[in-house]
Amino acid sequence: MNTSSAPTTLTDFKLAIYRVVLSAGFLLFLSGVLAIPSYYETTTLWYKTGVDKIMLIGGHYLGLLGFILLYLQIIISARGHFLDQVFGPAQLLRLHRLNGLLLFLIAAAHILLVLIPEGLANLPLGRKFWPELVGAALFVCIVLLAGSSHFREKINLPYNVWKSFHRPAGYLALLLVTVHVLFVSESFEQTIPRIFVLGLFTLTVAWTVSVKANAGRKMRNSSK
Amino acid sequence: MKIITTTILALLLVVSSSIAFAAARSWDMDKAHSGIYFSIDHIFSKVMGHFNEFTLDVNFDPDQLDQSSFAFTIEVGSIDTNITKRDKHLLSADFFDSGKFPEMSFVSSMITDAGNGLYNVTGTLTVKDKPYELTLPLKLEGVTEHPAKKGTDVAGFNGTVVIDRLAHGVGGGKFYDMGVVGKEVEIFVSLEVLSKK
Repeated sequence: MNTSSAPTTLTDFKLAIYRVVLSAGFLLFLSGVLAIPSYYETTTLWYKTGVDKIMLIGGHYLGLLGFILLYLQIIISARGHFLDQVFGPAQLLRLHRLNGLLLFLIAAAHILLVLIPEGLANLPLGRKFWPELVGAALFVCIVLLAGSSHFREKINLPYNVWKSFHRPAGYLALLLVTVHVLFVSESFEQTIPRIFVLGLFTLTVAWTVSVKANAGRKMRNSSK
Repeated sequence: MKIITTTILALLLVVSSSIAFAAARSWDMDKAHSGIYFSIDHIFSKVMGHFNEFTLDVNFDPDQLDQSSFAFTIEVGSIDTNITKRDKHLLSADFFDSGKFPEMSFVSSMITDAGNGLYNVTGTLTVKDKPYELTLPLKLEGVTEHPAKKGTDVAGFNGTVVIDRLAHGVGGGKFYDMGVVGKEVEIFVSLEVLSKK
């Protein structure tokens, strides 16, 4: 196979290497992100003991995992030429669907693990708990996104209607999760974690915009 | 003559009884200049806080203490120590358990004059639906016409009381045993109340 003549197609070997490198890179990145709460410890944990402490720690890590998976979800959904080539559109779509369900489960578990130690009767309601309420809005968004996608045919939701809100709701979820993480967690009040989140948000938005712009350009060129 | 005497006696009786049973002067809280503050030890430092939302019914006349009363109702959820996470922890079952017990109250049953403008307000403090007897010493700082609102009198009260939070069911002692949060809470009540002349 002559790869030099077709720079846009990759050999199977190269594809395998890219897949391994991208997957390993993502896992490395994820483990780095999950190290943030232990390095920039939140004082809330100081005042929890026993099962409450374990649940709260679990809730923090799951929340952070959900945060990264939501970013991954946006990147996967934007796709782009490179990701399409490496993983293939069908596999990306499968990953997108699976990740969506996983996000719902992780978000639900995160909420329970964070709220139970403080008591479900003492929900953080009111203006001063606005970052927690942003999290609640995010959960509603995730439920709508995952639910409407999973049960679209069962509830007879027309594809066009589903598509018209699925993408904007996904971008809204990205914004909500970013605001939630930046303001709800003491760990992310520190400069480096804050810069990390803002940088990740900027890069993801830039990636999505560039992919969409390229796709739009190609579509216009092909219609000429 | 007998009729006149009887009429005068009856009138005197009516007037005196109406004086005796008249409620003491009613006052409205000036919320912007009233507060219920507290401080508690945290290892070595003092953590200060206050309750943003509370109501107060005051009937007070130094000459009619038996007809005077104070009734506070405090929204536990309005606790504010300037750190939201700490407020959330204070509202949890570790301390106030505000979901189950959203209000605290203090209703006076007796007010006595302790001299020099100090009044001992004895009543029932209800925390987590359990009643405790409490005496809140309140100093009447003065009564004067409000400098910014003609025709209205303003009265000021300040008072401090120290209570044992563990004896009042606010926390189970875990953080006290750890040496983190003290058990004695200093409560400072500062009030301005208004009444039309």
